[in-house]
Amino acid sequence: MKAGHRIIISISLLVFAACEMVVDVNIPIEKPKLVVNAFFNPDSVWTASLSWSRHILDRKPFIEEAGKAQVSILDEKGVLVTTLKNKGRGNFVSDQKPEVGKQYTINVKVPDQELVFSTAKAIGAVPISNVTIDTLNEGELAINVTIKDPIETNYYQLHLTTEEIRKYQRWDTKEWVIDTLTMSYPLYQTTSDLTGETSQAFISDTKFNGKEITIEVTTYNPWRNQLLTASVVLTNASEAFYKYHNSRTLQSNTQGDPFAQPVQVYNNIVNGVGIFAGYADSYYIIK
Amino acid sequence: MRFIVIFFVLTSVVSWAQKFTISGFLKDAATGETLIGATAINVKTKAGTTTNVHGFYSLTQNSDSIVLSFSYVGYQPQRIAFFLAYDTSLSISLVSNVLDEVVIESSKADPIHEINQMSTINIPIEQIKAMPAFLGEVDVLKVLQLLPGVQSGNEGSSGLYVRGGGPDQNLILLDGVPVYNASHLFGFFSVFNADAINHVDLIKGGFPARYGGRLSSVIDINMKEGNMKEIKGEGSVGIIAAKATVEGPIVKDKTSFLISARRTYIDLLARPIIKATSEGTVAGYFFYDLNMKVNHVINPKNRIYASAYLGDDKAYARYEDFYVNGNERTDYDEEFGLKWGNIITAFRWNRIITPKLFANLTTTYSRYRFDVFSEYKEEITTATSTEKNYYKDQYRSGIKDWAAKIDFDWLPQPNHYVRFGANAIDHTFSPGVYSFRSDVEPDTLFGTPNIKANEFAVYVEDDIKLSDRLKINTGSHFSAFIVEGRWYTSWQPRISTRFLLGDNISLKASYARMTQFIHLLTNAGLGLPTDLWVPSTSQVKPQQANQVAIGLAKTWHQFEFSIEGYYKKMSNLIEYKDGASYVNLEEDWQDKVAVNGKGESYGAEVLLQKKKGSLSGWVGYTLSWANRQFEELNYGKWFPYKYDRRHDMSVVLAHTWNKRMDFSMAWVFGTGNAITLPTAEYDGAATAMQGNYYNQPIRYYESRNNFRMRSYHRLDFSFSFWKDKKWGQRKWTLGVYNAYSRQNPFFMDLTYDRDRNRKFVQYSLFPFIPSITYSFKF
Repeated sequence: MKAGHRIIISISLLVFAACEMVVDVNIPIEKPKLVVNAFFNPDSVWTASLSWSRHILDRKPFIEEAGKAQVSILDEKGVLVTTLKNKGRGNFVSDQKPEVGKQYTINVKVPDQELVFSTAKAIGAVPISNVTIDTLNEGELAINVTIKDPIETNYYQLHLTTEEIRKYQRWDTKEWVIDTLTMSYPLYQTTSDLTGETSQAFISDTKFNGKEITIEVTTYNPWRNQLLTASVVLTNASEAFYKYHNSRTLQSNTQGDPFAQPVQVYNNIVNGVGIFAGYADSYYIIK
Repeated sequence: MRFIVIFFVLTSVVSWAQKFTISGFLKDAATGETLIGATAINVKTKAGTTTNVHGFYSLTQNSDSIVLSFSYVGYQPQRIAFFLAYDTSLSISLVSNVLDEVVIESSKADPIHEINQMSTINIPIEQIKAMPAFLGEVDVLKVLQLLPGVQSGNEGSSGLYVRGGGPDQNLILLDGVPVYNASHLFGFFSVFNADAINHVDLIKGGFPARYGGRLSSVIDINMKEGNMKEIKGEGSVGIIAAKATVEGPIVKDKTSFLISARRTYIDLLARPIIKATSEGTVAGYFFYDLNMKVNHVINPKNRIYASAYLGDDKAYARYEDFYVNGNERTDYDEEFGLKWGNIITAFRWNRIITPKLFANLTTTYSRYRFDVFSEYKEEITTATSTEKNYYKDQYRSGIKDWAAKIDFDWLPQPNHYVRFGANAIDHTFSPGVYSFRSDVEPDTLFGTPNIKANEFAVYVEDDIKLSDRLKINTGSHFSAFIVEGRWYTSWQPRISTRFLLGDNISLKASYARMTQFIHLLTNAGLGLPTDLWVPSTSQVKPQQANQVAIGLAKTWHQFEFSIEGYYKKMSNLIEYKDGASYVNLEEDWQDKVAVNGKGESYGAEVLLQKKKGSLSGWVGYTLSWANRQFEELNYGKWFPYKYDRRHDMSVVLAHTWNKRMDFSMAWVFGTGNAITLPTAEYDGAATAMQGNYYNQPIRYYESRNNFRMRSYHRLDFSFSFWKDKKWGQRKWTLGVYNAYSRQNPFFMDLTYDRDRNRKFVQYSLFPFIPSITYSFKF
């Protein structure tokens, strides 16, 4: 922890420790809100996860929507495209996939509730032109990813997906197991010159819109394990996807920090909460 | 003979029509201190004027026999009759009428309904010093917080929130020099030592054109100049600090000095105990203030002043120890230091150019800086080798100004009081640089480099008496700001008016546009030293406000009553974004703030004041709303400002029983500050998102500042016991802060009880706190 953090927080803790009192805050007990979480991409069938929110002072598990919810997808003219089937535990699935470029509305009807809905567009993948890899050290790789950015506003995220043979110990039996696992590693930018951001947050194309660019990232060296396959994945995300991810990361990172402003996680569900957003992945196989 | 008679008559007629000017200074007879805002009136014609901040007055009248009356709050009025036949220099010394420091004998010459300026409050410094004080430390800004329209922010904070504005929107001037951080001990005390102060004015609206640079208020504080007659001193020892002031002539009636110092001493007392009980640790915290001033009268037309203020807060800790691991011994030394403070210096030259024209030239240097470091040294010794390691991280920020200004007071005739002038400031902003040095890792340096900027302003204003009933103050303030090759300019019209509806009642109205080129990134009113002053840039534009106010003022018997309504609209406000934290020192400040915000505040303020008699004080009430709107925040919807306090009330009384004992009390009430609390939780989108794993539910916030903390109220009182001694006077003051130990909200958080149930917890700071102070005067 940096000096400033250490000092300010420790002094402030002394101040805050003076006196605490439990207060009854009159947060009205409202009806739980329906939670709709539905990411979609052109390579996968429609899915949606439904549950209910709980009062902030409530510690019971979230209630999954197991009742008579009807989830349907409509096109931009309001014509029914598909109805998602309830597979249990709040999960709804269709057998159809979204088409790139089309605008869709998700409608969720639950008895005795207002109609819950949201609208989003299916976007296409942006191909990766080239990937080169340098070994920085035994534990770290530098990966250079070249893409040609389209003219419209784009939000990107990079990660590395692998299939690895790993040996691990089961938590219940303590038995050592060898298994094939699919792993996903975040990719961190090495400099902020290109995008103004250094974290693994989404990259917006404000500074390189319409141009070919090379993004330098680093990651854990997967070749340290027995690697079967490895691919660099470029996620092209919609603005809603980007806002949701960033705000959720920010809320997660700042929770418990008394000096940080509370974060409202992005929500585009009308009469409910959650997210309905499109994205698309492109892959570059490196092994 | 006839010719001679005609000539005499003609000469007399010419003389009769001629105007001459009486000018001079009004001073305290005992100390030679100038009296600011004192009144000089021709009793015959009712034409009058007031002294400026340097005690200078000028009144032009027809050549005639006149009776001049000079008066000032707490002083015996004086009248002088003479025939005005030429320009006359007349400096008057008024005798104090104050029996003791709390009995205020106000003159009738300055009732509230007569005063042209609205939204302005002046509290005599003696009344400020009589107020009950937190931990026995009299605090100017804390007393201002007791006035309607002024809020205190958080518990214990000396920040001011005036008419819905933020703490950065107050222009705090000490002898005309802006003070950037007026807080000690995280905002619990201000930097102003009341013993060194002569005069305090608070302006909340209807700003005269001579003021600019901040949106919401001007707190104009003038230091004493030093007793011109004899050496005087006063001091006090309280439970946390001691202070002393010495003033006197270097050359009687020509040159005077004043030195005033204050220091907390708890660290000195605690140091040996800490060292003895914690195996060699040395730690402590203290703050100090030092005010110095020299005042020299070159001749009746020229005076010069040099003043300086130095103040620092310092926290320190040092720990040395060793440990042994096998055949290896490690000796280590860890030290941390935290320091912040101001230097404010000013040189002034007053010159009476003509009896109607007064000039003041001021040059100033002021600097605020904050510095924190942590240093670690170790020496690892084995039988065969010695290894040394060193780490140091440091964070610095601050602001530095060089400035010059010239102000003119021109009184061409009694119906006009014209002020005009210009100023220039060279700013250097250091918004925060972090450095890490080590002999085992690469040095790191990041943060925002220094930013230079220049600020200029010119103004002209005229106080015009249009008739016996109608007065207006109208003017223009034009300012410019140049930063990184970019120009910002602003024209700010100002007007305020007073219309006498009857003998004791007046109607007042005002309009003012204000522009602010610099911003303060501040935490939630805690007054932490990490507050940063930053300039407007291409990304962050200057803030602007337009304010209208209307009010009634009435005087009857010993009471003054005023009621004012105001509406203020602000633009280009900045506020921390969601998730932004001033503790995060790595992020550039421009990336932490939402910009182009709008603000709206409106309300009504009522003030009933009694300034005379053994019982004096006031009752103030404010009903107000303050809201903000940013595109990037709260989904672009309007939300309540954090310090949107619907009701605010204060009752302040001071009573003198006799020459030996007096009592004062203050009761304050305010509805709770706004706070953002989650109302629900829900499950976020499941599964890993491209390498990010979330296992925390999402907290749902309906909107920003969606809840209110509990109401705040508190009673303070103090008793003072005086005794005259051969060498002077001593006083014991027993005080109580928060007499009924109200647990006022300071901060709220969501946490768990022992059974892992969720609960909201409110943190309070100060319970019942007694204090005792010994003061002396000689």
